[in-house]
Amino acid sequence: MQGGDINSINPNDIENITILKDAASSAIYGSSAPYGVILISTKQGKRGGAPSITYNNNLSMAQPINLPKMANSLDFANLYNEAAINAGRGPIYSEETIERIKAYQAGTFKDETIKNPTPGANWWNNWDAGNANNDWFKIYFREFAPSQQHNIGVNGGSQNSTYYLGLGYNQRAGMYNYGDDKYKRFNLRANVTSDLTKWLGFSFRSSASRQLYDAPNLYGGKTGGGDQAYMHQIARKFPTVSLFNPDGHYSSESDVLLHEEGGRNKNTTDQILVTAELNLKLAKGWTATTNYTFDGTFFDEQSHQKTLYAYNPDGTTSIIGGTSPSSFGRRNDRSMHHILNAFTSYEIESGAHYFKILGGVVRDLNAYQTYSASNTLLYSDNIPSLSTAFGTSPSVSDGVRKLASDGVFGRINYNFKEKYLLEINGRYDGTSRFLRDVRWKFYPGVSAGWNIDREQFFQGATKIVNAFKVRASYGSLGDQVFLDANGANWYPFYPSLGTTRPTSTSWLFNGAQQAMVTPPGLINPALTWVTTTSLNIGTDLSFLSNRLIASFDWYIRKADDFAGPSQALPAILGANPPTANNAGIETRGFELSIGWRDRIGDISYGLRGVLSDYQGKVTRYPNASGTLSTYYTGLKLGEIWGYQTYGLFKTADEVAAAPEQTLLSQATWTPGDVRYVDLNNDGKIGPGNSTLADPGDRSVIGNSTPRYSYSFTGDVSWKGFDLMVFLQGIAKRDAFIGSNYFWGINGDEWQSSVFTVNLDRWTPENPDGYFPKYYMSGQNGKNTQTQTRYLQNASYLRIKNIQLGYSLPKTLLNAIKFQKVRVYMSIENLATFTKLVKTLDPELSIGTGKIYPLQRTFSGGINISF
Amino acid sequence: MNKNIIPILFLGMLAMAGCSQDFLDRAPETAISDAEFWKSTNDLQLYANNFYSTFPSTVSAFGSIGIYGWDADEGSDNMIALGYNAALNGERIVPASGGGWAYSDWSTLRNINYFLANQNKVSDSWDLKKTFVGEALFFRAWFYFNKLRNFGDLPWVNTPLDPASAELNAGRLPRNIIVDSLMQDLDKAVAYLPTKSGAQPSRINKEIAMLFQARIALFEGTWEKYHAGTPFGVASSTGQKYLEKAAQVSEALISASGGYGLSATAGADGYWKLFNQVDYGSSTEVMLWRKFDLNLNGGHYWHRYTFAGAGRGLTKDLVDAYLCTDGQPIATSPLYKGDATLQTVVTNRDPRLAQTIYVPGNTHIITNNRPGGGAPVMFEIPTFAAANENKSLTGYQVYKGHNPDYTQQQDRGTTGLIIFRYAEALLIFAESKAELGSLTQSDADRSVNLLRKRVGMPELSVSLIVADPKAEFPALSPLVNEIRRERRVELACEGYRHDDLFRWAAADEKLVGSKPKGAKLSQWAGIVPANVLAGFPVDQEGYIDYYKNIGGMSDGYKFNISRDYLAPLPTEQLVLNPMIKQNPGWQ
Repeated sequence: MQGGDINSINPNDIENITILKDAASSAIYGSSAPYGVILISTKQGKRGGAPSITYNNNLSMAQPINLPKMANSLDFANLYNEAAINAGRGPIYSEETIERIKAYQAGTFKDETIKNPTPGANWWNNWDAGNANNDWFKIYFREFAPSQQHNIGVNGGSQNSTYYLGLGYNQRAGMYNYGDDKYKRFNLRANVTSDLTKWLGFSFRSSASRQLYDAPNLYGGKTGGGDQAYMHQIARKFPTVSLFNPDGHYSSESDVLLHEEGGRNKNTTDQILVTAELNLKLAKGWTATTNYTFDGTFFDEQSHQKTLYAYNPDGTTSIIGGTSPSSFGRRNDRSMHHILNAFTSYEIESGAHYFKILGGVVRDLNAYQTYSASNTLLYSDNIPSLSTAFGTSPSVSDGVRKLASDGVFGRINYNFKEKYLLEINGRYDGTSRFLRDVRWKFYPGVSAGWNIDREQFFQGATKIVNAFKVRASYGSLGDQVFLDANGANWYPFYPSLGTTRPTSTSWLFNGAQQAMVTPPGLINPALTWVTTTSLNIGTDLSFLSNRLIASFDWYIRKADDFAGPSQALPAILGANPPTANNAGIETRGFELSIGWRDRIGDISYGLRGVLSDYQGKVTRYPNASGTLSTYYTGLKLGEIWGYQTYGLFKTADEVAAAPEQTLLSQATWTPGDVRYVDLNNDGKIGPGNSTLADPGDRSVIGNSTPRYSYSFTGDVSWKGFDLMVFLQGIAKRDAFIGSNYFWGINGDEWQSSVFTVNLDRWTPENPDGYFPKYYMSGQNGKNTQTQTRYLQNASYLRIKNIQLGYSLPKTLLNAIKFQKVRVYMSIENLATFTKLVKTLDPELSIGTGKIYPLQRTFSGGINISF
Repeated sequence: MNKNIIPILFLGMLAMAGCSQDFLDRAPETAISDAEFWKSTNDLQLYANNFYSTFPSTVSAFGSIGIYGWDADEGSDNMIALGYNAALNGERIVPASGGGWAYSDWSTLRNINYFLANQNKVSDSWDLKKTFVGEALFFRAWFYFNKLRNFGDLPWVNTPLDPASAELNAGRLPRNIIVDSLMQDLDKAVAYLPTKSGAQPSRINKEIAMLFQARIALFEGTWEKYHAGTPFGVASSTGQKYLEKAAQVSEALISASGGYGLSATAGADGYWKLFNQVDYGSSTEVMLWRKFDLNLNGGHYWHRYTFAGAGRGLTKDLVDAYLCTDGQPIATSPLYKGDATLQTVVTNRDPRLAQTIYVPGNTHIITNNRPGGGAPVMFEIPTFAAANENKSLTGYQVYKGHNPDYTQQQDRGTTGLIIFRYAEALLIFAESKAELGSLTQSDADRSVNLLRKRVGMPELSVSLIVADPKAEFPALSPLVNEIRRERRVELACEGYRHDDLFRWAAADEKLVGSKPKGAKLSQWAGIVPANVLAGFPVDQEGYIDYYKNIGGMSDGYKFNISRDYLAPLPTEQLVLNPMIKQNPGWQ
């Protein structure tokens, strides 16, 4: 059955998870699964079994880890001044402010700031005129955030039917210190199967969940909004910004008021997933199944923006910028996914031969509908609603989109004595996402297996090698969801004019806003499925009485009609070229897994290691000029182009003698600036034409693809105790991080940060500093070019999980009539080993770094069944 | 149920599902396509509304004081900002991409061309439609003029392109060919657009289009004249025909003013009050302006900065340009009191000076209308000690454009953004005639002398000009010098000066090797703490030399006159279309 949101599944309801990666086996799951399928089977009861009840809980405390550490205010101010002066500007912090910063740190000055002394100013000094000493990450994040989970399951069955009932509750507090963000989830699952007659079976699987989220409004007008709003704002807040003003009120600049006193965003997500299925036994070996699934998500959100006031030095208040006018909005989404499946299969066994043939159809409709409305100016911020807002130009909108697909599929399986296995499958898919003449595609697949251990000639070896199978598969699948990478794009063939409501336009025509219409983007009517063709070869082995198990898979995946980046065209086109099936790409990879399980006396133990790797390259792409700004034929995905660093200039003489670097910056180069290597020996450093033929002094200096991903699981149990350790890591990965989370200073005083790591920069007194000479201007860019010196090694090893449990012994359980009682303690993300800069997390925050921090979780719980 | 019915039903379902093609035909239900649009004049207006978004919107950013900071932000000899202007100092580099020449930079043009290519579909009468076609032509010229100022020669695109269009591989046309097309477009726009009285308020009208056409013509005429014979000039042209066009269009505009004219500016602060109004709806002088409303389109932050030094400073060079009240320059006027203090420097000077800079003496208002009836805060000392965004860099703080109202200064303000002002038409007329050598006394009397008379300055007598020994442009006639002075003074701090220097090819006279200076620092000794004044270095004569200790500026601006008049094109564009060639000096 397709569909469903993996996040809405209660882990306690899961019976098992199967991952199908090769094209042949995932073929019958259709067009929404071009790169593999995750099959999650939920729990069913047992026939004729007595009811069994389980209860599990988990209580945990999470702490944010790997948060950047801000420099103290004096170091910050001095570095800001240094960078400004380097850039040819006056200092940012005045002498007077520096003195106050020192006095505050020494304890002789008590306030975090002073009133702005400029005549006419009725506000507190802040930013570069404040003298506080705040590490905003410490202020904004809690030490610990608690959460809890409880789950109850009941299963059982009669002669003709089985049932499972699951209930779950999960509550989680957010990591932010101000303005609680709260999350709750309720889950309910019911699965029933029943044989109605000898030839007709019925099964019904359902789940419902409700998620509630209540968090401070992001105040997009002030914070920029979006996922990164908090982490962006926290990092750019100067340590000298006051948390409290001398009058004892929170400062407006701290933004704490927004969280503590501001409006809230509340949303409710209800998800319902229902499958009703009929199973027919039509004749011996002939069965048919038809099912209908409804997968609905209902989302309701209300967002309230209160007008907030900050206290001025004279005791009056003024509106905090970006919080006025007050506003309220509601949004209601319905996402309804209907799937109708019908298939029939016939199997026959005749001597050593086994045949199975299966055929079916699937029809799928996704219908999405949204309404939203908002208005400004609330009568009262205590009763936020649309009815209690009196703005004269409310904003109302709706949105409807539908995506339909049809598919026909078939499969033939054959095996001979379970020794030789063969499968041929095919599907024919159509989607409403493409125009009629390019809508339908046929996708075939074939796979074969050979259980060598069943061969006569191999019998001598079965003492040592218990199982030995080789397998291969080859097949293609279609991908249409690539278009949704940046939000739903279900009508890519349709040139829609843009429409902007009057409330969103900025020019006032005679004092009033008017609606406006904008031109459509470019479209490509020939856009169609991306066809991914995979070849998998693998083997499964087990040795030494199945104590040692190994499996190995190698694959190559190609798409010759991949939708790569839009071709680079002359800018006078004036619009982004449309998405096209313009590229060929190829990915090769492998996965190796080795496990060992044995016991020594009372001790049972197991070890398992997994190693995998992949690499992709572009085999075809229209880039005649060879510009490096986009794909080119032969590009390895993830490659990083950059300069080689010679070092930092030590003297003016060295600058004069070195190849000239004026193509990078016409400003004067001085000691402390980066000296680049003249790779092409033309006597000057530069990017050339930024083409393959003339890359100047740039070359490929690294690759951001995570390579050699590995994991290791070890478990030991002794009597009732069990211990499990899970390690995970990446052996090779390069990263070049351009954001202020790495560089600290990025040239703009309002978008820079100074973390403790950034203090180790070049100065005349510290000529061996790691970071180069900083400039608080565009000139900073001359030293922050992508280059080898600052290329980061993002490989890591992380202790993901350690768990220690104890189960009560059988004798005791029998006495108290329990089947199982286990208590456990667990630590997640205990430690990370990496050489990456300390302000970033190697697993989560490669990129800008502006991501909700990783958490270390200490938890404990109990599992009971009776 | 009979067991045998089931498989039949089942197969029937299979067959049904496979054959309905319509199930897969889906179209958007909440978006509009071309086929459903372009039905009426109202559609044209809805589309044309989007053109107005192109008018300056960066003025709402933090740190912006609107047009009153552009002389510093764009770089000129009128005003400086916290950091020196890297472009004036020859520090630009050739970008790999972007640099004002990316898809998003040309999308404005596509937007307009898309309109022009589709407006024919509307079957309403031409009389109804032509206003909006006129607007589109105006905005196409607005787009091209901005590109022309930066890049010179340009590709000419007048249809919406698609990825297969041959025009994508065309080269750049010489700038005069581009300007000829703009003149044609604007001739049409002027013909199509209604006059002020017939036009909707806040929309482009005939007079605005005329003023813009005159502006471009003067720009191109003087550019070609003063860059003649250099790589920036146009072969065998001295810009004569554009100067004639500028004179002709501006004369037509001022002869039939269509309801526009200079506003009366009574009193010692009348000129100042032209520039700090929240509503210019009834102004005769402000022809086009952008209105702000906190509850509709937000506002701007200008007055959180203009109440102090705004992180900028006017230059001594600008202050020295103002005449004395006898109509003579400071070099010759016996009335000049020197510049020892802010008060003396404005004494006996063109009244516009004291209305452009802050002067102490209980006359210049920082904040009035304070809550609780508090007394107005008056200017006394430049804000040398303030945080950067409010710092005074030269002692000459910009007062023009400052709105003293308390509510304008607390968070966001709503002072209108002036885009076209009638006074410019008078200055274009005078300058183009002067450049043509045909400026008569009566021409002067109906142009620059109206501006002088308005502020109580003696009128310019074309035949009796005494050469200024400190003339900005000694190689040019005293008349041209005086016309340029009048333009500089009247339009000071309104964002014209950068373009003026560039079109006059004046970087060699005004920028190369020169350092922007400020007021005499010694006047604040003992008034402003010494450790604050220490942040303001002075030159040998005691004038603030804000960039004195900055390495890159030690010898003054390093503007490269054989390169820096035009911006470099990004290399990627030259690679993608080899017909596009790099600008002079940037190869």
